[in-house]
Amino acid sequence: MSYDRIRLGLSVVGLAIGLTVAVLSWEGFDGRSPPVTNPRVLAQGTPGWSVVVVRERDWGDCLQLRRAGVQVHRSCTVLSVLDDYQAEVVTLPGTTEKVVIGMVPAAAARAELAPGPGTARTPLRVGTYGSSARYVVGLAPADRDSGLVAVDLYDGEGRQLTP
Amino acid sequence: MTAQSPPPPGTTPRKAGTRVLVTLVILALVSLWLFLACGEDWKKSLFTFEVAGTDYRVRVTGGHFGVECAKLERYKPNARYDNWQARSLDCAWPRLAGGDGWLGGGQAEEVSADDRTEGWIFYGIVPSAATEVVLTFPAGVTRRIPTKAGGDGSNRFYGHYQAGARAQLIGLVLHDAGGGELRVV
Repeated sequence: MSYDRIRLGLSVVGLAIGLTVAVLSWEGFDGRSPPVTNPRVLAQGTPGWSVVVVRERDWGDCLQLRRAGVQVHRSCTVLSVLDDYQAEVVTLPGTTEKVVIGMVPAAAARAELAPGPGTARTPLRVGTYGSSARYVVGLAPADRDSGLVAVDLYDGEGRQLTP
Repeated sequence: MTAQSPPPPGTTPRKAGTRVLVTLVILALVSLWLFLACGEDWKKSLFTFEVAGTDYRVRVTGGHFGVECAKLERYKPNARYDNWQARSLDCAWPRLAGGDGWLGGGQAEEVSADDRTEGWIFYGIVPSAATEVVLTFPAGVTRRIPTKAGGDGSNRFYGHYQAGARAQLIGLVLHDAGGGELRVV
C-alpha cells in the first residue's frame, strides 16, 4: 500500500471521528436519553405526599418521595450493614409531618420501625415495584429525628430477617 | 498534431476521482455540522438574566430523536471555545404511567459572585397546557410565573430569578389557561 493511500486513509478516519464527536455533542440531541423516565405512583398519603418509582438512566429503578411537585427524598439501593436494614425519616417541607421510606430486600413481607430510645415500635407499609423489589413507607412518630433509622423486617412466614 | 502527454505521477483518473469524492464528503459533513451548530431557531434565548455583571440565558435544546429540554447557560468571557457554557438542563417532564399527570421537574441553579451566593435561577420546561407556574417557598411565599412558548410547541418554558442566599422550593403547581390545576406529583 502506498504512502499516499495510508495518509489519505488516516486523514479520512481522523476527520470522521472528529465529526462524529462534534455531531454527537450537538445539543439538538440533548433529550435523546432523558435522565428520568417511566414514573409510576406507588403510594400516596396525607398531607399530599407520593411515593414514585422512576427509571433513572444512570441508576436503574429508584424511589422518590415527593410532595407538591417537588422531590423530597430519593433512594436507589437497599441500605444495610450486614443484615441490619435501614430506612430514612424525612420531614416533609412546609409541614411538621415525617415520613419513613426505604428499599428493602424482596423477602420482606412485614416491616416495623425499630424502637429508639423512648420511642415505640411503628408498623410500616411494605409495597412492591418492578418484578419483585420491595419498599417500606409510613408516617414516622413526631419525636423521631430526621435521618437513617433501623427497620425490623419479617418474611411471609413471620420469621425475622433482621438481627 | 501533437501526442497527448501522459498524466503526471499521482494524478491518474481513478485517484483524482477519489480525491474529488473525499473532498465532497468532507464538505458535506462540515456543512452538516455548521447547520447543526448554528443553523436553527432553537438557539434563540427564551430568558436572560444579568446577575452581578454575569449574563445567564435559558434556551431550548434537544427535540431531535428525543424530547425537548431547557438549558441554562452562563456567559464566560475569554473561554477557549464557547463563551456560553452549560450549567444545567431540564428535559420534558415524563408522564405518569397508568394515570394523568406528570412527574414534576424544573431546576434551581445557584448564582454566585466572589464566592457569595447572589440568588437562584428557577427554570424549567413544562407541558404545553401549563400557562402559569406557581412556586412556593417557606413561610408561604409564592411566585406566579407565566410560561413562555418555545421550541416546537409541544412544551412551554419558565424562568425566574430570586435574589437571596437561600431559596428552598417546597411546592410547584401548574395552572392551565382556564386557571385549573394540572396534576403534578
